[in-house]
Amino acid sequence: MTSTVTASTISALTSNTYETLSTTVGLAVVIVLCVLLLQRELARVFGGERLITLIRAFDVALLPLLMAFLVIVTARLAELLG
Amino acid sequence: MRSVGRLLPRRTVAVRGPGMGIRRLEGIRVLGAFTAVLLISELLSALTTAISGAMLDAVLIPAALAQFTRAEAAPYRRLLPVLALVALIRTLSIAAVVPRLPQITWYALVGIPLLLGAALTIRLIDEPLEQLHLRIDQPALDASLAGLGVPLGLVGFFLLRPQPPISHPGLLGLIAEEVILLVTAAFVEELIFRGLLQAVVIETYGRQRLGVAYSAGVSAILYLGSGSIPYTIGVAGLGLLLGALLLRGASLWGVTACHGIALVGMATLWPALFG
Amino acid sequence: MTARTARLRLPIDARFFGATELRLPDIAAGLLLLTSAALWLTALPSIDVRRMSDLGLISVLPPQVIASVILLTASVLMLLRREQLNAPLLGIHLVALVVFLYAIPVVVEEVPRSAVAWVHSGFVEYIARTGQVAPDLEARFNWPGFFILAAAVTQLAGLSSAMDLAGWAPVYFNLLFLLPVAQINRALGIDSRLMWIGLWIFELSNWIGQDYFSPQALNYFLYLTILAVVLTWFRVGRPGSERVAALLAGAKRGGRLVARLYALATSDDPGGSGLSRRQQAAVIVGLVIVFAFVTFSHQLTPFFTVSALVSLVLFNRTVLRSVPVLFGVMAIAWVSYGTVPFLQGHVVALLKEVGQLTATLSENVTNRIAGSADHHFVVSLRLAFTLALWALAILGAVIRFLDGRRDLTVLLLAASPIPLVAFQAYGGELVLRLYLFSLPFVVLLVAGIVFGRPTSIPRLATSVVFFGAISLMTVVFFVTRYGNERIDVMTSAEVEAVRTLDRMAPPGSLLVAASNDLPWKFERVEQYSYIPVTDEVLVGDVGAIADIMLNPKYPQSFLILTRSQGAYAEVFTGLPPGDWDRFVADVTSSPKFVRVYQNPDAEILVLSPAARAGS
Repeated sequence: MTSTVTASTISALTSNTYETLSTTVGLAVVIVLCVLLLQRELARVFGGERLITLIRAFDVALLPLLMAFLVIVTARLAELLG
Repeated sequence: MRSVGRLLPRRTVAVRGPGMGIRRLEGIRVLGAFTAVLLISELLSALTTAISGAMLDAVLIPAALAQFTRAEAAPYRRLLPVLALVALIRTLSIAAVVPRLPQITWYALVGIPLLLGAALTIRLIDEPLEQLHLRIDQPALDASLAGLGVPLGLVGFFLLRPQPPISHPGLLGLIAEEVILLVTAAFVEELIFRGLLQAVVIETYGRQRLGVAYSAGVSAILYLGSGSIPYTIGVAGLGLLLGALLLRGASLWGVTACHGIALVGMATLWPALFG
Repeated sequence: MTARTARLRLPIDARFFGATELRLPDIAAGLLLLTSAALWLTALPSIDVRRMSDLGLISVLPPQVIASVILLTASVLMLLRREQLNAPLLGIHLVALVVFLYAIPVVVEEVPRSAVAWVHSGFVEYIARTGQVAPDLEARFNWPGFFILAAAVTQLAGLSSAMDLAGWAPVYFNLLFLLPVAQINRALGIDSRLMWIGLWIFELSNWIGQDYFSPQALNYFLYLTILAVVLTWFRVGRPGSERVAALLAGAKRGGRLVARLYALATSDDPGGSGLSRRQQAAVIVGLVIVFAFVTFSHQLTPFFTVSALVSLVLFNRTVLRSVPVLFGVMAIAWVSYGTVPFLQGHVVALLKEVGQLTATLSENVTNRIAGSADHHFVVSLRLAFTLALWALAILGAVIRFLDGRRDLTVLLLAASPIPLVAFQAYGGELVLRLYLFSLPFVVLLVAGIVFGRPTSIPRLATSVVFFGAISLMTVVFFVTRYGNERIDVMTSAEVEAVRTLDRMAPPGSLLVAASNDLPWKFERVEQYSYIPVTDEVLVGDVGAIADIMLNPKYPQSFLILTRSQGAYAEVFTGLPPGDWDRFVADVTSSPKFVRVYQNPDAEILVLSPAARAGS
């Protein structure tokens, strides 16, 4: 119906265990998050006058991915709880 | 489009950045490359599994943002965070979702971070709010667009036959469902595609038709995973229509209402009437 | 009275000692150092660890050992009264202190101490032998970094086992700790005299004993190193904003008070040094790599590190704004992804502990006051010493504040471990770890009562009183640090018994002991199942032990009883004196058991044919 929840995403979400989802896309999110955070810190080193712009650039994806990360971690814990 | 153009006056759109010339080619290559990767990831999602598409899109995100930080003088620079936001859609649609929760929550779990991302992008590229068409200049046009959502929803329902996100919603569940679909699905998509992407493409390349076509095309690419080619083509056509009307006086609220009412119909009304 | 400045002409090059010429205090200090070393060395042969009471090592420690440390302290205090400090000589004193305090067990005990060190050695042996980790076998394998590193070092150095590294662990770890702590002090512009005496008190206050051959020891060093790097190269020189300060001061209601509080919260740290951009980038990447190792080698240290860095960021003491978030993501991600076997068995218990402050404090404090009367005393002394140290630290902070010193960074780092108490009891050990992680900063404040005052060299009377306090601290150290020594000491006979057991027991056997306090699991740990039967021993239920060993799941079962287990039962569980020997006699005389091995410190028993037939 929408670009965010399509038939292919529904299929992927329902036909794979959460373990599979979180160790593929979830892990990719974790890695991208770490890369973005490191890039953000290095932007502070090399940014100079453009520092604020550079930091805002990484925040575009960082904050949404941080939210996703919290969901992933909570959901993994919930899976372990049963 | 020409007949519509005669009825409605052309909106003045501020064109930013350098105009034609040698740099435009460089920008189009970047745009083309990004779009190609996006297309591949969506095809992977549609033909194999959305997991692989989401992972490919995840790689695009830091790449686009890193290029933004490096290519300071590039004319296409302001496009890059918007493209990163588009890539974020598929990644979040798998990563941010908890499958064991009701499907309606998936829209919210993906839409809320995207909304945040969109707000941060607007701040980053210093996009004037006027360019997002948030002001209602022609309420009649917006109202008509909203009404258009009803038949569009019916067409979409028959093309796609989607499963309702909530099977037996009570009144509260129904209200929640409609609010979620309107805000975190319809509004977020229109803000990203018609509000941001279309506007920034026009500002970068100085061509309204390119902006409308590109944003409609990209949104259609993200619908490849719907499993229905006619539906995807319909989305592309709707994108063209809404994008064009946005430049002719419609507001983002109007196009959101159109999109949202169509979704509400597909999710609730038409399944109830037609099973 | 300042130090005398009589000069001597010497045949050796005095520049070696860092001074252009040797002065009388240096020579006197050198003599005191040599005397204390002689006292210490000559005292060691008379230490008989087998005669230890439940008070631990202090019960057999000759007074010369304590006297040697006190003499060393006197020497250091004399050196600190000099106008110009002799850093190399002070350094030698510090090294001597570490040796005097921590090398005693290495010299007087037959084999490396601490049952847990032997277990860790077993993990290292497993990795070196199989090239794999086994997270399903043992929870600590979910954080395998230290064990993998130790396996690599053992193999590269051509050592027969990791126990060759374990014996001296407390000595080399405590020496290592001094380096980043000293650098932290330098980075914060701490007065030199205060720094030296702070390091001295640090060693005398480190009774926690988490410096044995363990992941936590190495990771504590890495924690300190990360802080040293951040404070040296990534500190905000002027945390406050003049604009904000002016805005606050101009506020109509309470503006002056708020402005003063803001000034306090953003007080400058003196000093700091710069790096080029490339160097900064390289150091940041290095920090990430080090933290990645910390994340996958210890459960707690990552979170203590994140807490410390967050506190620095919140008060604008560091420019590294994204690093704490990055480290937090890495730590949580490792727990979520890398420790699933551990979480599967423990997640419910872990989540139950969150927010349970009363229960955590109870588990960490009141529940520890158990066991024999002497052990009660040791634990109570530990508690009293800890509280006294923290009270003195608060006093020191107030005194330094009144002197015009703003130690916000020190206070932040001292307090940063506290929030973790709200999340976990960590098996009753979290408060101990809190003490350890705040210790380098707490001792600085304690020492600040006397040193680092505006008149940099304290008055003689003050120094004398201080000397008395440190001397008392020395005695307390040997009680608090080595109060469990009767349990921690292992003997070569016990090790031989376990080796014999490993030779006897076929793979898959069940090995039963009265507790985990024996040097086992250091070879082929994966081949056996291990059960401590502490409760059954407490009530002397020989039959219940036999029933456990009758489990048909195991091809064979063995019961090993050692001297150290008896010590554990008496010290920790309060088994009355004599009951252990009676229990052992009951077991060996029981028709259910047959003794198959015995030496002065251990016996190994199996089920008798009758017991097996009756199953």
